[in-house]
Amino acid sequence: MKNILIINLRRLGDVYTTGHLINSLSSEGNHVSLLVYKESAQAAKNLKNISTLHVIDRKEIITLKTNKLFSDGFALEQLFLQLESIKEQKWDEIINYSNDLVGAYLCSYLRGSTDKVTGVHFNQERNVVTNNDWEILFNDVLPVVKYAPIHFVDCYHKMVGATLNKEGEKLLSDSEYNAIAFSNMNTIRKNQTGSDRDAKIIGIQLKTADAAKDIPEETINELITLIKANNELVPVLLIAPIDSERKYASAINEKFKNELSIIESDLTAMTSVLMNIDLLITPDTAIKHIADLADTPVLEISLGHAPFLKQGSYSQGSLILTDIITDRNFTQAKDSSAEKNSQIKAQDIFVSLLYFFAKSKTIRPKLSNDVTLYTCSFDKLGARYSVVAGTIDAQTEIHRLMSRQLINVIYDQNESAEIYDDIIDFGLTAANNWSAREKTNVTNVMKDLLGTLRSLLQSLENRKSSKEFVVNLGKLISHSDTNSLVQIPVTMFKTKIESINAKSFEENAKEVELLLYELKSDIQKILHCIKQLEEGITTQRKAEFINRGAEPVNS
Amino acid sequence: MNLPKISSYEVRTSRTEQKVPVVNDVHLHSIYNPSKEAEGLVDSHLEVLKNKNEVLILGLGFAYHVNAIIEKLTQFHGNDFKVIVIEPNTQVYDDCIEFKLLNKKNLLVYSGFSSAELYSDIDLIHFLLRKPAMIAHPPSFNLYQYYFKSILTFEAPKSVGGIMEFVNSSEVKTYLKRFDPNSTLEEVLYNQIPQKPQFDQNDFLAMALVEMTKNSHEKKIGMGEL
Repeated sequence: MKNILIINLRRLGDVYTTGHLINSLSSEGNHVSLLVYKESAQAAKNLKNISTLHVIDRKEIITLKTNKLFSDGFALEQLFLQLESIKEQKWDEIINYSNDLVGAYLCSYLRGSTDKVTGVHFNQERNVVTNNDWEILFNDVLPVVKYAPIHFVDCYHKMVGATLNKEGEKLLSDSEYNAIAFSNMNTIRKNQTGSDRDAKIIGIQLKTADAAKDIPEETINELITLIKANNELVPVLLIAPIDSERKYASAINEKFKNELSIIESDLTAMTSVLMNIDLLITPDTAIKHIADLADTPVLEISLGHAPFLKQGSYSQGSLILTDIITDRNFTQAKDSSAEKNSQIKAQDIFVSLLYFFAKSKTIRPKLSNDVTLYTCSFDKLGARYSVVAGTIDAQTEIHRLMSRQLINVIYDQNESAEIYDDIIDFGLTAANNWSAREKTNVTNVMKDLLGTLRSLLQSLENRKSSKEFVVNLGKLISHSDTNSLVQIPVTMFKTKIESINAKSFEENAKEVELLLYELKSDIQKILHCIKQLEEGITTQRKAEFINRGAEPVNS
Repeated sequence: MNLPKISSYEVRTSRTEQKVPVVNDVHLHSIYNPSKEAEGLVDSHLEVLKNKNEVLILGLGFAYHVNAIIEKLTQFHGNDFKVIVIEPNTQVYDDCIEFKLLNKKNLLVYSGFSSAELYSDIDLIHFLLRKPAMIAHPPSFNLYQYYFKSILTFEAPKSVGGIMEFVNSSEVKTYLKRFDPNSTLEEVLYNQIPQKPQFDQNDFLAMALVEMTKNSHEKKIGMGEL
């Protein structure tokens, strides 16, 4: 049993996502405490299995630091005092979950109070310290890979070495609220059908903290009209207890002759509400993360810069509706007007929700052009998003899946035959084209790698060759900018090269040589994955050939 | 010291038989009816007293207005309120206590404190950080204008040496002692620490503070923006 502190200094939604790791760690018998900013403490208070909740009052510290009335010394002193009880304890592990600079500095400050720090932190020279390849993958690779092959929650589990436990209650709920929500939802169901069994309650989350992620009002109105026309479904509007959302919900309700149910709840009560509805339709919000923890199915409408491949809905069978990912920009634009208009229509949301409730999943929903529906399932690496229906770019999807496979092979030694099968489903020609292009990329990297290795060995014999080595190394590292599978191991290599702390040229060269051989081994693993895919393509071709041969020949 | 100079002080009696302090020939309450005057002050702040349960009062006098405010707060918030009074004249405070004129319910009085002493008191600072309502007792405020203005426009010392006077924690003091007492904390945080070749644990805490307050360190705000 370990005494673990998780530091998460991000916003409400991010604090909720910590609930998965807390659940996994506590189910292994560990005591888990959490450090958050005071403004996110409400989310932390909702999470189960937290031994102690520690809070930093950031707003107070900022006021002490910025207001000329108060001595700056108080800001430093208050931060010191607010962390004092943490520093005085003995921890087995401190995890920097928020992965930001403040978290990194605090982990470094608390280094003397713990046996181990996981996540970004510094040594005395202020160099970043890394414990394992998962940390580099998280901190250096995922930010540069356009289509994330692994969910953040899973990456954290791997960084920490925890086994994902999907079972168990992850949220605290109020029994009184649960009873009220249960009773109210049953009344809504009965009013719809006259019985208490058939009607499905569809919660619609109206607002996010970021207008770029909101479902447009017109789409919501059309969606409600479609849902209301179906006797088996009842829409309820979910809002936070604030005036702007009340007004917005009332304006929508007026258009439906005030026949809609509006549920206004704070974060604690929201858990009870979500536990009693059948499906939540939501953009990327904290509510989505609560639903994931409450095992409430989600149909996520991923809009704006919402990074669903890294932080999408995280529960088996949940659906994610998005514009085709090649049209998405997953980084927040400085100017929100620069966000592209979504192609997602109310009809797309409606057919997706019908698909969710359909007993047979063989009939796929028909979606607007350039809209894609994904579903969340779990494999050995964790949450995996697979295409259900809609427009896709086969090369992008294959690349995304092969990146995941590469992570399986390099870092988890867990090759998945299913991924190759899924890739072949995108079509043999597409798979073949991807493989041919990727082989060219691998050949180029391998050529540059061998050139770098050769010039490194030469420079050990003759320092005049070191210039050639530097040029070759730069050329090799430039592959970290390519949209290719090699980007992952080359970025990993680049990070490791940058953090070498050797003192002499010989020591330096020795470490670089080791890293070059490690990279070579990783590139060979890419070749292995491509070979496995090609074998799958050949097998499929043979099967198709045999099937065609068995068919009657038309003259 | 920014405490006001008192050249004369006497206690008179109002027509309603209530005691009234007269400082430097200024009556701090109505010589006719202090209680009625206090009710008028409360009436003009009803909305703020309804919305806020913490109140900072500038000027104690003989507390007729303070007692009226406490009564109103009790009516609005039950026992859940707090009042702090700042009064520069210790003699007025002592007499107010002596004459048993003060309702002490949830009340704290800072009497005879200089600005620097007030802003060294962490309890008062925490109170101010919770953004209390601020009510000035007009006669006291006018009489001790310079004193109250110096409180409202106070600027805490910026040098490391000056800052140490405000800090209570011995560990934080020991850490600050390592730096040039004439440097400002800003210089230490933004220039000196980042250039250190090796960090110790407390340097990381200081850098966490820098990062946490980033984008806000350049603007300095005052009492009105608390």
